[in-house]
Amino acid sequence: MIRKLFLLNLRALLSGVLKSNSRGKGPGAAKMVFAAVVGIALAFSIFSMFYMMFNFVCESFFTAGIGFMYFSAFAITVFSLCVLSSVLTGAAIVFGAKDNELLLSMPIKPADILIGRLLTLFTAEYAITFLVALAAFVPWLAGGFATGSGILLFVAGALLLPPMALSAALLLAWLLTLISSRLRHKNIVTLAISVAFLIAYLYFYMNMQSYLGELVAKGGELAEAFRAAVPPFYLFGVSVADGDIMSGLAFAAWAVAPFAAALLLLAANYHKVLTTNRGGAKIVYREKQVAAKSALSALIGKEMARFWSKPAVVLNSSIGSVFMLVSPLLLIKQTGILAQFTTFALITNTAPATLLAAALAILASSNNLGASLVSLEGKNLWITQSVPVSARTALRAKLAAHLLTSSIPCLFASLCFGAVLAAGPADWLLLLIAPQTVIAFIAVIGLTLNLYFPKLDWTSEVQVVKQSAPAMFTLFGAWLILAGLGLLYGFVFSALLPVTAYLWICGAFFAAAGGCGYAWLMKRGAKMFARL
Amino acid sequence: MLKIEGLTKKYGDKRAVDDLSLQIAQGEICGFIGHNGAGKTTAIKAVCGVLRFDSGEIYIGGQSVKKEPMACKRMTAYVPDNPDLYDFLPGIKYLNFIADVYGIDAGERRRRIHQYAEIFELTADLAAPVSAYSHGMKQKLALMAALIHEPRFMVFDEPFVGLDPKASRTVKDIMRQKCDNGGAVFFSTHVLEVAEKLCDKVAIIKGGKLVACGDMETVRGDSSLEEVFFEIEGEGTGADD
Repeated sequence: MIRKLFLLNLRALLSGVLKSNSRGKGPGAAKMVFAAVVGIALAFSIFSMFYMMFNFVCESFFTAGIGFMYFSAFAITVFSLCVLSSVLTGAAIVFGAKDNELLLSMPIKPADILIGRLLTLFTAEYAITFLVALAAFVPWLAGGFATGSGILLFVAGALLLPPMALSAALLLAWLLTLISSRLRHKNIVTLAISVAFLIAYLYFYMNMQSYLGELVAKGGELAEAFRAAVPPFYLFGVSVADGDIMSGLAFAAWAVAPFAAALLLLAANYHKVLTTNRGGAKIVYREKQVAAKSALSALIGKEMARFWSKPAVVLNSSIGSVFMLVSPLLLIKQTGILAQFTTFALITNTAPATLLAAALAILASSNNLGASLVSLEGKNLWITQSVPVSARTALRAKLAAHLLTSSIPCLFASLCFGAVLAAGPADWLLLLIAPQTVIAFIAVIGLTLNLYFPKLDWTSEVQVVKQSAPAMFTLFGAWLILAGLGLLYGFVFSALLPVTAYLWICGAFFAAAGGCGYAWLMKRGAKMFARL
Repeated sequence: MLKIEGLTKKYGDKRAVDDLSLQIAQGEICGFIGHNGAGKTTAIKAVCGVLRFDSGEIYIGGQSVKKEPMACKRMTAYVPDNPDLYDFLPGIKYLNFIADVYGIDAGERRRRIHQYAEIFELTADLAAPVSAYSHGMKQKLALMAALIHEPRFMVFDEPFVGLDPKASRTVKDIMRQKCDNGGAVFFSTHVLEVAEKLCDKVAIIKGGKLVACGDMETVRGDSSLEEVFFEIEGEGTGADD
C-alpha cells in the first residue's frame, strides 16, 4: 500500500512536469527533452554553486587542521536546504493535501498515508543531498585529503541527513499549520514567518564564506564553541575527517532518534491531526456598502486574493519580488555592500545603475506567477467560463496579477537604487524601464506556457507553483535566456557596444517579444482558454 | 427561452450528446432525467457556454450561444452539480465578485444579497471563508450567486443535492416564482418524484440521445414518471421482482 501511495504522489508530482495532453497521449519527445535539459541545467547550477563554496575553503580547512569543519559545514548546508525545501511543501502535502479525507475514508492505515507522503519529500531531499555531497566530495578528493574510512562515513552520514532534516521540517510544518489554523490573518503570519526564515537562511548563506574564513583564523577556539552549540554537525565532521566510527554512530543516533520519534508520534496521531477542527474564531458578518467594480477589476481582485491565500504560492511564484523588497534595504543599511558594489562597477567599467538594472532583471526572472494562474483555476474554472466575461478579459486579469506582484516591488527597488546612487536622468530611465520589460515578457510567456500545459487536477497548489511544467519551464527558460544574453554580450557585443546600450537593446527585445506574445494571447490564447 | 437544435458533443469517438433537440418556453420548468453518464451534465454545460460543442445550435432568448455567448450568459444562471467555489474568498466577497462581473450596482446587490441570505439562512456565515462551508452551505452560496443578477433563464445540475428540506423547498418556490414572472428553468435530477411534482415539462436522455420529451402529462400518461423512466430504460421498477 505504501508503495502504491508513494507512486500515486510521485505521479502527481511528475504529472505537473510531464502532463499528458487531454487526449491521453504521452507528453511528447520535445517536452521530455526540454524537461530533461531544464533538469540537468538546474542540477548543474546547484552543483556549481556549492562546488565553488567548498572548493574555496577545502584546502584552508584541512591545512589548518580543522578538516572536521569542512564536513560540518556540508552537513549544515544540506540540513538547512532540506528543511527549507520541505517546510512549506510538508505543510501543504502532509497536513493540507486535498485528498487527505478521501484517503482516510478508504481502508488504508493513516500511517501508510503519512509514509507515502514522506517518501515523496525524501525524494526531493535526497536529490538535493546528492548534489551538495558531490560538490563537497570533489574538492575533498581532488585535494588528496580523503581516506577510505572517511569516504564510507561521509556517504553513510550524508544518507542520514535527510531524515534528520525531515524531522525538523515536519515539526516546523506542524507548528506552522497549528499557528495558522488559530489565527485570523493566518496567511500573512505564515508568509511573514516563511520570509523571515528564508532571509535568515540567505543571510547565513551569504556570510558563510566569511564565517568559514573566521573559523580558519581562530581555529580550535571556535571549534570548541561549535561543538557545544551544534553537536550533531560537529560529530558528523569529526567522524568523516578522522574516520572515527564512534562519532559516526553518535551522529547516527542524533539523526535517527528525532526522526523515529517524529514518525512514531505522527503515525499514531495522523488521523487525529488531519481531522481535528481547531475552530478558529468565527468572523461575524456585518452588512456594509460595497462599491461596484468593473468585471476586469473584479477578476484582478480575485486573482490577487488567490495569490495571497497561500504562502506557498507567494514564495514559489514571486520569490524575486521578496528579494526586490529586501535588497534595497540591505543596500541602504549596509553601506559596506554599496562600497563593494561601487568598486565592482569601477573594475568592470560599468555604471552602477546598469549593473543594478541587470540585477533587477535577474530577480524579475525569478517571478513566474503567470505560469500558474490558469492551472490554479483548477475545479473553479467553470465559474470564469459560465459568467459573462470574455476569455480575453480573464487572461488580461491574469497578466495584471503577474504585473502587480512583480512590477510594484520592482518599482520600489528601482526608486531606492536610483536614490542611493543619486542617478542621472538616463540611469533613472534604465532602472525604471529595463527590468519592467523583463517582467512583462515573463508574464506573457508564462501565461502562454500555462495555456499549452494546464494542470487542473492538482491536490495541492504546490504541485502547480513549484512542480508544474509551465512554472519550471518559465523559471528556467527565463534564466537561460538571460544567461544567453549575458554570454552573447561577453563573447560578441562587448567589443562593439557599451553595456548600457546593450541593456537598452535587450529591453527593447523583451518589450517587442512581450507585445507580440500579448497579441497572440488575445487571439489564439483566448480561444485556447475558452476551450479548456 | 431555450431552443436546442441537433446538439452533438463528442469526446474522442464517443458521442456524449448525440443530435439532441429540445425547446423550453417562457414560464416552463423542464426536468432533465437520465442515468449517470447519459449526457445530462455535458448537455447542460453546453447550454451554459462552459463546454464547446461539435455541431448543432443552442439559442437562449433567441440569441445563439455560439455567436453571442456573452449575451446568453447575461440571461442565464448556472449552478453545477458539485459547486467548487473560490475557497480562498469569504462568502460575501464571492457574491460581490459575481455581482461585479454581472455589473450589478452597489445598492441593488446589497438588497439582493440581504434578501437571499435571509431566505437561505446564510447571513451569519457570509464573512466566513468558503473553505469553512459545508457542502449544503456551498450549494446555497452557489444558488445565491446564481440568483444575484435576476436571471431570466436558470440551469441547475442536481440542485437539491446537499440541501436541507427547508432550503430545497425554498429553491422549488424560487424556481416556480421565476417561471411565473416569465423566466424558465432547466434542471437535471435523479429524484423522479421531485421532477414529477415540480416540472411542467420533462426530457429523458439515454446514451446521449433524447428518448422522450414533452409536457409532463403527455410523457407520463396514466403511469408515474418512475414507471415511464424505467420502461424507456428497458428495466423493471423493482416492484415486479
